[in-house]
Amino acid sequence: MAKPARISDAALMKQVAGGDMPALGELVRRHQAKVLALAIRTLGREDLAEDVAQDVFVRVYKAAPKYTPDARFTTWLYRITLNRCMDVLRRNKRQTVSLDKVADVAGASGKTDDVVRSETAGRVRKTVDALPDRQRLAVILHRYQDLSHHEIAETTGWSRSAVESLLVRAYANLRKALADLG
Amino acid sequence: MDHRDITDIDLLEYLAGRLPPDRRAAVEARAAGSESVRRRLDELRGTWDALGRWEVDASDRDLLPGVLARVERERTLVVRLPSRWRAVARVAAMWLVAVAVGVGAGRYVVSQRRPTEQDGATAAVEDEDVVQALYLDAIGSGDALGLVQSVTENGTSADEEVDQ
Repeated sequence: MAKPARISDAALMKQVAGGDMPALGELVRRHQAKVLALAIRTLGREDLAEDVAQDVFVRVYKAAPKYTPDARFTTWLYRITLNRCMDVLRRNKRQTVSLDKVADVAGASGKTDDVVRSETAGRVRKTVDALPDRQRLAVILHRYQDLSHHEIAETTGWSRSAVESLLVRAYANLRKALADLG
Repeated sequence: MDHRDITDIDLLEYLAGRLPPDRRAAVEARAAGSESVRRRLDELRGTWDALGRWEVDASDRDLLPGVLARVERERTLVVRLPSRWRAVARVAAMWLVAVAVGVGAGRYVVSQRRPTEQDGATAAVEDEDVVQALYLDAIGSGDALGLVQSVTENGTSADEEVDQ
């Protein structure tokens, strides 16, 4: 038997605008993992990230009557997520460390695989965290949220050329700091 | 095509698997024929793979109960008053704000007319004025969704940062 066609995000938004709560539930189920991951990587704190992610979907619900599908739904969704994350970051000043310090954290002889894996992940996280804000957001959206540089420009409102420059510089910085992992 | 036609962005999108087939083939052809392109691609692949070690698995989370609870709270707040009472409440709120502004302005004018009052008393009146101003700012802060371009505000532009 043929699988029923998957209803589009835009169509679900229309249903949400009409007060259809199961449609909102479907949107949450589809996108919660990506929204939450974006918030976790941007904020660096899971408790804050979960609160932000829930708030994002409440805003989606409230905005549904006025929603027009001009761009991909996820572009709009991630823009709301980033804006909320920026609000939170402004309230809780992000603490960053320099790339040099991050690079010094290497070295894990005699440790179990899980510990090494966890330490490596922590080092990568700190290295990304140490990037200038816009480079950091560009890399998070490009590497982890699966957005092309065109889509990053749409999501952030930055020019395409700015996004390209940010990505090139960010990856160059990361290459220096993570050279021994590559 | 000269290998200089292949930009780092092309290589990054190649690694991400987001290039159209013709561009993908062009990158592969250049990487096969050019040592420098191959080296750039290898360096970026190393960084790409290293970044992949920062895993965030949020697939087991279920945000829906929390979202529905918040939505329900929002709806309850809106529907608790019948619409005609909501209109009355809105008008009453506007009157209250107007009265508060009037009182604040009146106190300010009075304080200006009595310059000989003690400093402490004057300061207290000024503090209240500040509170009124902030409150009005909050009311007038527009966008209920918070969909302002906060990513690009309060700081340097992306282009400026690029130049840093």
